[in-house]
Amino acid sequence: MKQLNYDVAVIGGGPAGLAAGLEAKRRGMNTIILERDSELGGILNQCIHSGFGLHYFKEELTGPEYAERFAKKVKESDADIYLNTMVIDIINDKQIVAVNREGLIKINAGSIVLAMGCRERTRGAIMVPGSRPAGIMTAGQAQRYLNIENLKPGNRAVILGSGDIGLITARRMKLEGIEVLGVYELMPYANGLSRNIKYCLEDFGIPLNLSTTVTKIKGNNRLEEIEVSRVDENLKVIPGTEKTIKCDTLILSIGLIPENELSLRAGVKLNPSTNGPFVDSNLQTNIPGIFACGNVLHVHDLVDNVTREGEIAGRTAAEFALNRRVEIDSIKIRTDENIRYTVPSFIKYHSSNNISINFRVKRPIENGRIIAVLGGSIIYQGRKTSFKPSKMENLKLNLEKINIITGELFLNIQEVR
Amino acid sequence: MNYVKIVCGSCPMECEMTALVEERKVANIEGNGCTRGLEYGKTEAINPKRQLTTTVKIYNARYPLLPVRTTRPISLEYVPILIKMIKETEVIAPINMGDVILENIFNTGIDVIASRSLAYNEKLNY
Repeated sequence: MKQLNYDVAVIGGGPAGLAAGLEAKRRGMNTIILERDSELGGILNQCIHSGFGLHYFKEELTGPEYAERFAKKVKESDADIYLNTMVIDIINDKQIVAVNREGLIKINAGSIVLAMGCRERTRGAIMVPGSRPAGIMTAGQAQRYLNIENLKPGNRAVILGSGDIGLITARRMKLEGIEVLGVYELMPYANGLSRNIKYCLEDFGIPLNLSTTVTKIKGNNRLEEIEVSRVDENLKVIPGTEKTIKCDTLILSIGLIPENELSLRAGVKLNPSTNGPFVDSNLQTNIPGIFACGNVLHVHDLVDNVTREGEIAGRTAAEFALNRRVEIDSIKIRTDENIRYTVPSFIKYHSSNNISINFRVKRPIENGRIIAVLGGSIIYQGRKTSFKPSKMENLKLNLEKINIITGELFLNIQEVR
Repeated sequence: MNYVKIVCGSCPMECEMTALVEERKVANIEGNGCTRGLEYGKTEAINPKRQLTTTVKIYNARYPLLPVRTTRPISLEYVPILIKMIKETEVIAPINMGDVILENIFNTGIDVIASRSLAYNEKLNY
């Protein structure tokens, strides 16, 4: 068994972990990055489409390019990188237990950055009845087969879920000669970017069917056919609307779940609205010295934001390792029923600081504005715009001119009809 | 002369634009939120262009496939032929990110380049 000591230990070598590790290293910390895969980059390695780095690098890169730029910087930085190494526990006070081919590793860390990313919801999450044949997989699995392993997922595919991952996989499969019969979406609106609806579906003549879901699966060894049905405004199946579709592949793009098994073992408290840890503006969890960033904290749309978040976590984790403490924010942010969640959940007030809050809405709002209330007065009113659950919003508040800075911050969306 | 509705794809703002097309030329654009959107609308209305990202077979590397992309968006009409050309292309490791795989396709000045590096690795040869 190996016993190691580090100032900052980063769990996960994807974009969040790479940004956090780089930042900690820049601040002179002895840093280790633990990654279970055989290379750095995380999910970016299989995201061969472009659209990454528009904000951070002002260039439109593919996933592997974005990953390689950061992996290169990390390798040059002299941070210790352990690949093919799985963290299996966090015990005592910030002690990490990991395992790889050489055996067990115990790491005493001054501070820990959680950057484990997220996983996909599978068939079990939506409990589609029927048999359990081969040919049913998540969009990410299909993406891995197509882009890395050189394996064909199937010949005739149907996609459930209109999120960007499903749309991008639809296009990818079509380009590889797979028949893509259609994308089906439970909600009455598409989840992904309009640009992806155009580039992935309209360009290729793939139909999009809203307010429809998969209600039965049939097939012996291999998927043979599925049944789809329309749903009403309460998302209940409308009897009599069933249609049978012959296909051999069902691609599920039905949501991502932050992967927080380790966090729970460490005693970290999770926010049920995000399935990620509660954090304050330092990205510190309820456990002093344990920080979180990236998809493990909340599911992101843009990797550029993941990098920025990782940089914050790396900075504050370094500060904790140095000083043994980071001030804990205690003011809770309250929201109305239009806002599904905010990250962070807790903030502090300094007249000199800018508060940056990320949030998502619960339902599409055509025309509305974000309003921030503090001590009974409106301190900020955003401009009128549209909001979508699939688009993460950011709110920046400057408290310099505010006189009363105590009490809870209340955020709400005022709808303008 | 006809009106073409376009949702801008330059950034996540997704501005809704309308282009007036006369004799295969864009006479007017309305609804763009910035100059990048204006340029996007002008091309999208008469000659839509797309980035192509796909994979190429590679030998002597840890993976059997190398992700590649076009250096700039190409006309949508070229995409099916380009896909065929890329399917017939094979490369051998080592490859560095940015290496040109297909040069100046259809005389557009656009290349197809490697999206990542893949080192020589005979042991994992597929």
